[in-house]
Amino acid sequence: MFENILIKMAFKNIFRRLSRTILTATMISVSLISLMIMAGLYEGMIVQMVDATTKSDSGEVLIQAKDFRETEQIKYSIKDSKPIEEIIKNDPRVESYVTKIRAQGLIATAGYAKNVEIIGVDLEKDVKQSKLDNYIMSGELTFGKHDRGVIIGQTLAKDLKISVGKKVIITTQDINNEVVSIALKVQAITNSTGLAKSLLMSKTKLQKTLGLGNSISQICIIMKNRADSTTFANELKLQDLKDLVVYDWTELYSMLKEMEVMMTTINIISYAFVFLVASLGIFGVVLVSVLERIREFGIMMAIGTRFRDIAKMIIFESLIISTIGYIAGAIIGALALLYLSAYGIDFSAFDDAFLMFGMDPHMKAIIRPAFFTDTLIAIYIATILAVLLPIRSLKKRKPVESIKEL
Amino acid sequence: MFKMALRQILAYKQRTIITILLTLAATYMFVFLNGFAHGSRMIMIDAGVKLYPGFIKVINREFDETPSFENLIFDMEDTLKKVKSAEGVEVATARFETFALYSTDEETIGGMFTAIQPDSEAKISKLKESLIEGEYLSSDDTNALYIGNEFASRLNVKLGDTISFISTGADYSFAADNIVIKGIFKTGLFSFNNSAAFMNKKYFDEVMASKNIATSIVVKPVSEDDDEILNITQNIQNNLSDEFWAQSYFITMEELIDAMIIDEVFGYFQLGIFFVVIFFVIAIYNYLNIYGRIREFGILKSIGTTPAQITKMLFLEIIILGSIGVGIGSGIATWNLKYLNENPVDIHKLYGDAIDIEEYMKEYDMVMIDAMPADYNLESIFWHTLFVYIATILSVLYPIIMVNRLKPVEAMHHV
Repeated sequence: MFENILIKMAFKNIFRRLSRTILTATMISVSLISLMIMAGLYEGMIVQMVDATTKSDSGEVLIQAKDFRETEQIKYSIKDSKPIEEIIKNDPRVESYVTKIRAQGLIATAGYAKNVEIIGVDLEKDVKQSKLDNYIMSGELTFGKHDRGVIIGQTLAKDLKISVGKKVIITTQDINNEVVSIALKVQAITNSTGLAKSLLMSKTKLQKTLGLGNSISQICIIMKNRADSTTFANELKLQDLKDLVVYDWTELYSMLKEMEVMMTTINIISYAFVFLVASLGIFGVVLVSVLERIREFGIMMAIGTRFRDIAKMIIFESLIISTIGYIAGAIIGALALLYLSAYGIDFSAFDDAFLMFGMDPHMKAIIRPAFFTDTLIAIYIATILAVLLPIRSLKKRKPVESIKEL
Repeated sequence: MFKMALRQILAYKQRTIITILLTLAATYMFVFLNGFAHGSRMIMIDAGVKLYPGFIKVINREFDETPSFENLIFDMEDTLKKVKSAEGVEVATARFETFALYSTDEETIGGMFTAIQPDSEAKISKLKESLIEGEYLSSDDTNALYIGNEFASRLNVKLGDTISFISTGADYSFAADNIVIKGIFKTGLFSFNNSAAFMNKKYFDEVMASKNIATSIVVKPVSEDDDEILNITQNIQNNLSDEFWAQSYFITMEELIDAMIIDEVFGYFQLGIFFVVIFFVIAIYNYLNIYGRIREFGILKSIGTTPAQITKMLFLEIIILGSIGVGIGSGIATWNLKYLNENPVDIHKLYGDAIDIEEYMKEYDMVMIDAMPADYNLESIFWHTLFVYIATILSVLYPIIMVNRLKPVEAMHHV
């Protein structure tokens, strides 16, 4: 009952100095909005990088023949993928998987040549997994009649100055170490970040060209839940897979994992710094508010209010201001993040620079419930810490004695 | 007025200490973090440019759009002479860059195949000083190859081994020869070590039918100052016909420079968050202080002090406090930047175990650098300091407006 009265009094008190309350609440909400946007964009950037790399390239779990990763030689291929495909197919945690061929070669136009990574895929299956149809800049998503077409990455197209419809010559080494060449037509150019410098062609055609028969270079698996990838990879590693090696994406792209950790650390440091400074602001406001009402508190104590209740009222006041700041910040922050997750920020004027880091130039934010819960906890901790000293200071000044000063 | 401001500063110690500490922290962070980050960006660009691409490059204008053998520098000697005669050019060298398939008994791998003029090249790029085994090329070498260590490893060849190459000559003829590995290099750029090989241009011209032909001419200017580089690029262009295009590294390395700009923008965004909250707190303390002195301002007004004089006094207070905080913060940041400019940070120590920096550079195709110097640029320090100073002074604007709105009697009754 008395708690309710204290809360009511706290409410009334914060409106006595409205501009002060607004200033403090604004400080909290502006800090919150900025931090949420920063965390949302940074985490969104990492998620986009992981997605682009895993979906268009290796998958979240990758199976290759032993020594292929180190040497990139096609002789280290998976001769019979059926048994392992059966295991993958029957696991309920697996969303999809595709098989691919990879080879190094030379791509040449009429007047220029460049080394290139050639990837052979079953286009229909690959599009389902990689969502490549969302990343076609020009041309049509097809390998054309008799599989004589290729889809090339944006950077490669730019380096070679080629466009859709142009002929390119691909030269590479087959399974018998003989140099082989094929002429293909550019059907489409993709801006998928994972394929920026690569070339996609028909898996069957590449198998024939390289003399690989039905052998493949790798199996790329996407999980229903990315968090299951490590467990699933570890389970596969325990099976008798003979000459096969299994990797989960954190092993393949340790840099992405390290970047994820680094971004989290940066976010934690930023949150800690911002709320530490913000608590200094709250401290100043509470201290002044407490000291200017010292006689008021003296009277309250003289008519029987315990110091503990006065302290509670001061804490309530601070928490109410923080909550107002939090609610305003959370609403505006959520709206900003919703906008940024739907429309993103378009940095396509700098697309080469973004592609250099495997980043999507169309940066999108993500929203996680933790953005709201973590900040709420941080704000309340900062507020409680900020009011401790003013309360201590009030106690030292003995409010009851201050009545005598009237 | 100054004395009154000074007395107020000494009377309200809590506001004084917090304002000074916060402006000090804000200035230090803004000046130091910017200088340090800018220094690391500059060294990355510098290392990238000096490794191989060069500060200025001349190509056939059509080559940029259509990089074919139709669009080369065909009268190389004459063009080279004109480039060298431009004011500000220290050294210039010609290159013929193409691709080839390299074959050993077991391996066939595609890679860069570039002809260089060994003596002048050594003065422009880091090729010569990156030698780790064997010898660098000389101008009388014949079928000798200078190859990246990772590329040699992929081909499974060592010093003295013979390999074959197949490529297309400048006249579109079929070009092939056996070449001997004369030297192996290792630069800080993994992709370069993994795919590049060089040959003496004199011999290359015989095999590739490229006598007096180059794909580009690369220039080392006398100065590395950005404005000077642009002037020298223009001087070179003035000496050449429109058929050629002199490009500064701002064009040839646009991708890397853009990446650094983006990094800078994100850096400012992050600092901006800290900044906003710091200045809110400074504003709150000034607000509380001025608010607590409303009665005093009422008395001052009632005895004839004008709003302009009150404004002046309050501005003087923040100018004194700001000057102390900003001055100390900027001073410490400047000293630290100077120290780190002269004693660059070991990049491996900086990141420690948090990130495998070599793997990171390799992954993103950037030149590995061992040390990161801070950017000690007094002009930049001045502008960043001034920014914090102005922001600090502006933080008292709202309380001043509020105080000046009050009528003397109203202010005197304020509790």
